[in-house]
Amino acid sequence: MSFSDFFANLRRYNENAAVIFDHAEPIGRATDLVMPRRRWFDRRDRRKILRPLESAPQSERS
Amino acid sequence: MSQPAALTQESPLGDVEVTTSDVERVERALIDASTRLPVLVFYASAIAWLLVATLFGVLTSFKMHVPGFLGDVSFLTLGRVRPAHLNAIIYGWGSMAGMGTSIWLMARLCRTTLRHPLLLISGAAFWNLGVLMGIVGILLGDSTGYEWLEFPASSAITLFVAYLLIMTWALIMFRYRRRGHVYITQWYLLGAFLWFPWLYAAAQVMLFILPVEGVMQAAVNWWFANNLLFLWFGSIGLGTAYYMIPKVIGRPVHSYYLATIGFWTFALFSSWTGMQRLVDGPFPAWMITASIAATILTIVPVATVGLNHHMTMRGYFPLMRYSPTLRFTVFGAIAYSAFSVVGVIISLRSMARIVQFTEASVGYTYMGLYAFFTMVIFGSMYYIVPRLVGREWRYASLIKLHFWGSAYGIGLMVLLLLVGGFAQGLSLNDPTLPFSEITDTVMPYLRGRTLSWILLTVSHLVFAFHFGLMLLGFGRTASVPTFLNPLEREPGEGH
Repeated sequence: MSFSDFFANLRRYNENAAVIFDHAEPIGRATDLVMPRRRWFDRRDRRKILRPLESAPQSERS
Repeated sequence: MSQPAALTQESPLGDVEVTTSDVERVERALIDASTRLPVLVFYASAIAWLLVATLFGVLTSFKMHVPGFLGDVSFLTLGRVRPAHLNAIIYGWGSMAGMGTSIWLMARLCRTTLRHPLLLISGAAFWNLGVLMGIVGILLGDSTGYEWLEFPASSAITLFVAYLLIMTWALIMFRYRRRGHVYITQWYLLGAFLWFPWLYAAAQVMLFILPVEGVMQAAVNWWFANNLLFLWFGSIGLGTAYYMIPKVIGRPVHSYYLATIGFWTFALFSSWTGMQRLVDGPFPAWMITASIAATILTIVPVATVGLNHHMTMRGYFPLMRYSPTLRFTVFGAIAYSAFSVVGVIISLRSMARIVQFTEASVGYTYMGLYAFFTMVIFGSMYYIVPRLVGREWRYASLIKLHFWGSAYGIGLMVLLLLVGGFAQGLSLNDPTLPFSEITDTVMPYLRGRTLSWILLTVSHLVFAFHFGLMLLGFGRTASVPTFLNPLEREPGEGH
C-alpha cells in the first residue's frame, strides 16, 4: 500500500464520524440550543452574540 | 374504433411530497417513543437514588467534623451511613442513570425501535430491589466491609440477575441493528456492558464465593473499585460525550481515527489499574508498579479523547451558553482530563506516600464519579428527556441553578479534599505530631466539604423537581427550541 492509499483510507475512515447525522439532522445544524440569553447582557452584547446564531438555520427538535 | 380513454391514477396521498428528512424524523420519533417507558423508569429510579445518596452524603460529611451527631442512632453511625451513601451513588444513581442513557443511545445508534421493553423494565425493577435490599442491609449492619461491595449477598445476587436481563437486551439490540458502521459510542457502551458483569462476578467470586486469602483481598477489592470507575462509569461517560458533543453542535468528531485509538488504548491500559491505591502495602512490588505504569499510560487515551473533543468544539465554545447538554457534557469532558492527570500524580510513589489513606483519595474518586461521569449524564438527560416526553424543559433558570450548584459544589469539594488530603498526609508523615493535631489540620477542609454538599443538595433537589415537572407533563410545549428567539419571552421570566 502506498502512502497516498494509506492516507486515502484514513480519510475514508474519518467519514464514519458522520454516521450520527442524516438529512433531518445534517452536519452544520445544531440540535439542542435552548438556553436563553443571560439577563444582564445589554443590547449591544446581545446583538454581538446572537448575530451569528440568527444567521444560522433554525434548529428543530426531531 | 374510438380511442380508449387515457387511464389516470391519482396518488392516494394527493399532492403530498414525502422527503427523506420526513422519513428520518418519523423513524427517529418511533425510536424515541419505543424507548420512552424503559428510559424514564431508569431515570426516575436514578434520580430517587440520587436524592437518597445526597442525604446520606450530607450526613456523612457532617459526621466527619461533628462525630457525635446522631451518634446514638445505630443505623446512622458513620460506619453504616458512609457505605450506604457510596453504594447508593454507585449502584442507585450512577448505574441506573448510565443504563438509561445507554438504552436510548443504543436504540438511536442501532437505528431500530427498542425490542423487548419488558426485559428492561424487569431489569430495572430487580435492580431497584437489589439496591434497596443492599442499602437497608448496610444500615442494619449487614455490610460486607469491602469498599464499593458492601451490599450483602442477597442484594448482590438480585443485582446480578437484574443486570443479566439488561445485558441480554443490549446484545439483542446490537444483533438486530440496522446494517452500517458501528459508531464509537456503541463500542464504548458495548464494552461497558461486557466489562461490568466480568468485574462484578470476578470480585464476588474472589471475595465471597471462593475467597482469596490475606492481603490479596485488598488487592481484589481495589482492582474492582478502580476498574468500576474506569471500565463501567468511564466507558459510559466517554461514549455519551462522543455522541452528545458532535450532535449538539452539528459537527462530526474531529478525528474518528483518533477516537478509535483512544478506545483501544483505554481498554488496554485501564484494566491494569487499581493497585496504585496500595503503594507500599504488603504486596509484590511488580503488582504496584504495573498499576502505576498502567495509570501513567492512561494518559494516552485521555490525551486522544481530550484533543479530539477540544478540536471538535473549537470555534463552538460560545454555544455552551445556549445548550444545557453541551454545558454539562463539556464540563464533564474537561473534568475527565483533570481526573486522569490527578490520578497519574497521586499514583506516583513519592506522592502516594503522602496522599494515600487521606481525603485526597476520596476527592479523586468524586472527581471521576461526579465531576466527570455525573455531569456528562446530567447533560445527556437534558438532551434525551424532552425527546421522550415531547416537551421542552420548562425553566431555563432552574437548569442554570442546577448547573452552577453542581459545578461549584463538586469543584469546591474536590479542591478541598485534594488540598486537605495533601495537608493531612504531610501531617500523618510527621512522627512528632500527635494524632489530635493531625485531625485539627484537616477539620476546616471537612467543614468546607459539608458546605459543598449543601450546594449539591440544592442542585439535586432543583433537578429532581424539574424532572418531575417533565414527567407530569408540565414541560413547555414547542416544536422548536423557544429560548433562542430574541423576540420571545418566557411568561414570568425576565430573560
